[in-house]
Amino acid sequence: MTINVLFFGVAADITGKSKIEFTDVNDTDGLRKQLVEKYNTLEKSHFIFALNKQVVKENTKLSDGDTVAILPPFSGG
Amino acid sequence: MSDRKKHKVFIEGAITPQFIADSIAKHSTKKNIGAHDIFLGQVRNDMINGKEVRAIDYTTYQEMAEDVLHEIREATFAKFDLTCMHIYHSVGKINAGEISLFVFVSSAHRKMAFDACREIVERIKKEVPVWGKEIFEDETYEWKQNT
Repeated sequence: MTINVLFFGVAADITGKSKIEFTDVNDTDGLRKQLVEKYNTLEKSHFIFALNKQVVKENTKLSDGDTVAILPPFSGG
Repeated sequence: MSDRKKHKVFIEGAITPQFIADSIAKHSTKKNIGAHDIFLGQVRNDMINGKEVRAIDYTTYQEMAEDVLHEIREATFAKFDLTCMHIYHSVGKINAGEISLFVFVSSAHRKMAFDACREIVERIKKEVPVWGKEIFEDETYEWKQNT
């Protein structure tokens, strides 16, 4: 199972990457745990998840081929 | 959702006064319009910890942003009686004093135009995945936070 994880804004700065593939993750809570373990300061960015371009606030099951974006607070306009 | 096509929103670089003037001029043939309302977002030279913001570098998650903007467009057309609506947002480095957001709505009467324009701008700020990196004179930067 492959989950494509995209990073934007300060999250891309923290990880130093715009995209990472995860293989061993079942849901968004699990992904959050793995991300924060690997990149300690990521939690402070107050990011939310978008699963296949839709914001998800509750823990959500992930499927092979899903794209999850890590979105820090927006600051457009 | 209607089948209204997705519109190009993101422009590389600043939105020029000429582009805005040309957009206004294009509406002279639509004679059922009685009111235009325009919002222009301009990059501000904030002072942060004693350093002046020289420019904002905007990035977006374009695929998602286009979906969200499409939904905002559809919902706003459904809620307000508008003749037309145009939304442009800059990506890349925009200097202080330059325009980075251009929202332009037209209606038969002013109230619809005022209300719709405000709602679009507020929704863009809150819902569209765009990030601004404030660049200081010494080339250091900080990620912008919308208030």
